Formats: sequence, structure tokens, C-alpha cells
Amino acid sequence: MTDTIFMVFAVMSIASAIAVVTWRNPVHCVLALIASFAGVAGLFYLLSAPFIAVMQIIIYAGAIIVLFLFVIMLLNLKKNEMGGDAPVQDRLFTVFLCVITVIILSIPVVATFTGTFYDQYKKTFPKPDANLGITETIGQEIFSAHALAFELISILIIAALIGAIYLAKKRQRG
Amino acid sequence: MFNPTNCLILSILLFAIGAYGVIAKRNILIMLMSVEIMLNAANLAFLTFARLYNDPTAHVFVLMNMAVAAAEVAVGLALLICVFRHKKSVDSTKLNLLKW
Repeated sequence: MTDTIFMVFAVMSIASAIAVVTWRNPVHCVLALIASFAGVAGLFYLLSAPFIAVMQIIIYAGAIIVLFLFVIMLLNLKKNEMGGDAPVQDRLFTVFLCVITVIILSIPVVATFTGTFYDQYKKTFPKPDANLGITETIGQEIFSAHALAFELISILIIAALIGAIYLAKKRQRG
Repeated sequence: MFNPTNCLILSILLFAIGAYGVIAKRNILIMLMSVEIMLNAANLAFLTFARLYNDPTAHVFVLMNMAVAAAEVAVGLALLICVFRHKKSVDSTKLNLLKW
């Protein structure tokens, strides 16, 4: 049962990610991106991280997608302003590079998990802790061990907010 | 099927697809979307290891990662609007001011 759900979400996220990088119309790409994020959120839920899965839906599929759509509507791009793709030989070379990346990154993963050290995890994950991934655990973790990181991230968001407003506002001509 | 190897390979595939989008597309909007796919792939790898070792630290890291992604998109799209005002295009090949 879990295997089937994993397969569905995996195919969904991969297929819509491919759609994002192949389709031309930015609005279609954004819609495919929602499907990709939803698939990954389902995988997060399977990996016993329900809080993160919901956050993924709220932040990515909510805030970020709306931001993208808003900018697309604001710019109202015409065909010749879009940019399109690189030439075919460049794209083929990029595919080649990405395949090599996949192979290089897969070698240590496969080598590690087919070795003897991880023998018991070859087929499946270990049984999760009952309180792994629930909100209480994450909250305690954030506000005790990672309080400094939490404060720093708020400074980063303030900086991004001010920077975005400064960059996007119209300059006064004086 | 649902084992650590497959989850990590799925995350690698998503990362490679995102990397392809960043390199091969000329539309800055779609390049930003591809960056989001890559960040998502990293989150997936984090949560796989969190599940494997029963460690909630990775969950905190993923939340931080999401905040960084949101900030990155906000600044990136502001820059995109800025670029569009000057160039009347979102084509990354038109941004050649610093090119010799």
C-alpha cells in the first residue's frame, strides 16, 4: 500500500517537474509546479513529517505560487519577450550533463545502501518514533536548540522584504 | 519500493531536472521556478535522513530552508520586475551589460 502511494507521488512530482522545464507558457509552468509541490508534500507525509507537508502546501503552493502568478499577470508577457529555450545542441549537452550528475550522485547512495552497514534498511525504513515530525517536537527543537537560527532567519526575511520593496518600487525622477 | 535508496534517488532526479531548467531555459521566471524544484529536492533528502535516523533536527532545517526559499523568490521576482522595466523582456540572454 505504502509502495503504491510512494510510486504515485514520485511519478507525479517527477512528471510535473519535467513539465515545468519543458513547457513554454509560464502560466502552464506554474500550474505544473503546483502539482510537483503537491507530490513532494505527499512524499513528506509518507516520510512521517505531516507538519512539514502542510507547511509545504501553505508556503510553496500558497505563497510562492501566488507570488509567481501575480508577477506573470503584472508583466503580461508577449511571445517575443519570453526568452524561450537555448539552442537544441546546448539543450542536449545540458541533458547529458544532468544525466552525468544523476549518475555521480547515485553511485554513493546506491553503494552505501547496498553495503552491509545498512543491511536492515535495504527494503524499508526503520519504524519511526511516535513523536517524530509532530508539531510539538519541531517546536521544542526550534525554540531550544535552534533559537539562534530562528532569530537569524527572521533578520533574513526582514532584509528580503526591504530589499524586494526597494528593488520593485518605481524610482522618482528628480 | 518505499526505501531510503529510492527516496534519495528521487531527490537526485528532481535536483537534476531543476538544474536542467536553470541552465537550458532563457526565461528568468522559469529559471526561478527550477531553483524552487532544486530546493524542494534538497528538502526531500533532508527528510529521508530524518526518517532514517529518527532525528527532528532535519525538520527544523527544512523549515529554515523554506523561509530562505520564500525570501529568495521575493527578491528574485523584484529583480525580475526591475529587469523587465529596463529591458522590456525576461530573456536572460538580453542581460549582457557586464559581458565583454
